[in-house]
Amino acid sequence: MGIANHVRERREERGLTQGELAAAVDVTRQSINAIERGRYDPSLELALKLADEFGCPVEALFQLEE
Amino acid sequence: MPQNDTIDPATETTYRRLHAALWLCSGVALGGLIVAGYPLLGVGAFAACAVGAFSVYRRYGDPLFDERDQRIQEAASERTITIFGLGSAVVFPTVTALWALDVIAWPLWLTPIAFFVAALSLLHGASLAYERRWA
Repeated sequence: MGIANHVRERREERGLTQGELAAAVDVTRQSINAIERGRYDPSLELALKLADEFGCPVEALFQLEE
Repeated sequence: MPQNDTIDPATETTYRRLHAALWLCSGVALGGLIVAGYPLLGVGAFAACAVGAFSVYRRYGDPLFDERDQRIQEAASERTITIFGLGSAVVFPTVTALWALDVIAWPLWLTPIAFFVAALSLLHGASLAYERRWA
């Protein structure tokens, strides 16, 4: 069971670049890119930081895939 | 906290590659110059490259490495120790049995490797015990 995420959609809605989002949550741009492509599942801490940055609950950003 | 409002992809990649290249150079320079008969020069080159790598890391204002790099590092380390463990579990008992049965002569070059694997296993065991204590 994988984890689906809506980071790219949320980021684009906010008009942020990957670099801007990376700087905001204190990680590398490569990690944001990997998360958006579904190649990396972030830690709980980073997931919470991303949710905080987008002002949404973490479950709106990440969901378990069936 | 990050120093910039954004991270330039090209700059990030350049710094990461430069950092890796400097560490690679430090090892190659140390080994190469020792083999070439200039051990002190090798140590100097190693130190210079290591300081350079550290400077690159410090100079980059934003995170150059993060939790994803740490997870990659952990996965690579886990695979390495697994390969060492499985390889040792096959090679050493097999060679020992063949040597005991007088099928082969004990390869002398295998002895330091055996000690190295034993030391590595002990260190791994100690690290596991330490991590379990705090997990």
